[in-house]
Amino acid sequence: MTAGVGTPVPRRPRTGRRSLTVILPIAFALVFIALWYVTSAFLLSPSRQFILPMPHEVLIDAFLTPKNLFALLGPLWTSTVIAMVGLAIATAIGVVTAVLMSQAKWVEITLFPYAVALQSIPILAIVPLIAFAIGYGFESRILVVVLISLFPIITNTLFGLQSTSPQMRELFTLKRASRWTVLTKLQFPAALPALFTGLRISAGMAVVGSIVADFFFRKGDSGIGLVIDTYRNQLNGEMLYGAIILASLLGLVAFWVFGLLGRLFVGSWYRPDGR
Amino acid sequence: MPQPIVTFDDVSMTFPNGTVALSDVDITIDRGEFIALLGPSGCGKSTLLRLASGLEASTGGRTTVDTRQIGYVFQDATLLPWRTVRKNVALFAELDHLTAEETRTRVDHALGVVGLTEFQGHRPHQLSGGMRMRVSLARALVNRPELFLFDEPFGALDEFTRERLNDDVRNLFVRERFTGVFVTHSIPEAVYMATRVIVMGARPGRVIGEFAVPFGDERGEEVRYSSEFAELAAEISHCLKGAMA
Repeated sequence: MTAGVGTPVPRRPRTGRRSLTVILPIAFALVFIALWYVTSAFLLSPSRQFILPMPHEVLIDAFLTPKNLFALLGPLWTSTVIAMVGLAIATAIGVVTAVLMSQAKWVEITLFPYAVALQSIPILAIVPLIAFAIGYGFESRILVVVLISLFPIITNTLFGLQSTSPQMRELFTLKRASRWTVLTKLQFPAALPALFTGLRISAGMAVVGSIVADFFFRKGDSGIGLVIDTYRNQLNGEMLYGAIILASLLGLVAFWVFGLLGRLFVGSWYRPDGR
Repeated sequence: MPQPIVTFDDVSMTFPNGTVALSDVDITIDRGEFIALLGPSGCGKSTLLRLASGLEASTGGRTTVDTRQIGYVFQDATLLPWRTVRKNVALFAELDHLTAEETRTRVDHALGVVGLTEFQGHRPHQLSGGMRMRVSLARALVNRPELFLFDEPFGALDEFTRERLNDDVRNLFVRERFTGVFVTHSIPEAVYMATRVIVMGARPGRVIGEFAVPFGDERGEEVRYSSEFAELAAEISHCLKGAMA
């Protein structure tokens, strides 16, 4: 046994914990699927089994039948595009707003209450207004995404821009650096970690917004939300679950991709412990 | 004929909340001096540095500074965490819009002086506290300072690192012949570092004593543990206690 030689003692429980962090979630998933089978097979009467088809039926019908899979992937792509276009617009608006707020206190004082209000508007309440004003097309879906994902970007970017220490700013004051120089060489780089945190939160919300919007704005290529609604009407349980699983995965992937992007851009220097 | 580089002429500083940080301070610092500003917290010694560097303006009196090449070292290293050591050191050259050639020469020299050439590609989080302070020194050196201001620069470090860095600063002073102003609340540190110690009292901040330090450029253990060193330190301590009583 050479592998154990020189291995520090405290490492052992840690490796143990690490394998636990993999095993426990997987065990939970297995238990969950088992419960699903039990419910579907024994608890539901045959006439109501369409509410909860067996997991393997979902797998075979929705994912392993090419025609059905493509019927889901097309709308999924449409939803992805809408979510990302909306997120891009929200990022542009959010970053510019946060920069303006950081440059002039009166802009922050003026706009911040409305940014908070924007966050608290029940999006469903203004859907009729959006339909009334700009119709039932893509633009309306994108607008919903922008509205739902804007707030985290504004607040996180603003927080990041304001996170520089007074001493760091004084380094620039010593050289009488312009506001623009301070913004580009100090505040903006300092804000990047927070900006990416905001983007990651907003990416998840953008997917939610895009799917919610599908239910109401049905013109143009259908998104995954519309497909979910359609299968619900058809009582097609297998496809309904397939669509829901794909939509959930989209949200997860968006969250994950933007987390990865953040690590790519600031991981080389940013330490969350502030060192 | 001594040439003054910094003159505080009847300088007073009252903060908006009414605190009197400085009251009628008169100090003349000549080129080539290494001044220790010594005093308890709240005596306005850091405020004097901020006035000399132009970070703040006094509410009364006049501050005259006869150079634009100023180096400023804060208590914390204050490095930009996203920049490498080299890019941190280059910051002031960049803000002064120096040419790439000139920047390279100055940054190479500064990195060499503080012994961090090998670490120029590292980020601040990969360095020890002492190394980070040396990056901060190198960054100030890029200004080619005629006036070097140290605001309790190594207070957050352990005793050994601090003594080593103090020796580094002393060696730099002997080599580059800038004028140094070093803020500290340690009597031995003030005596070890300075050519002249200016003692300040608090509430309101004012000058309460001045001591010429009789040691030359060579300072080491024999100076630190000499009887003259101990006597001067005792005298300064007496002056401080007298003001606090």
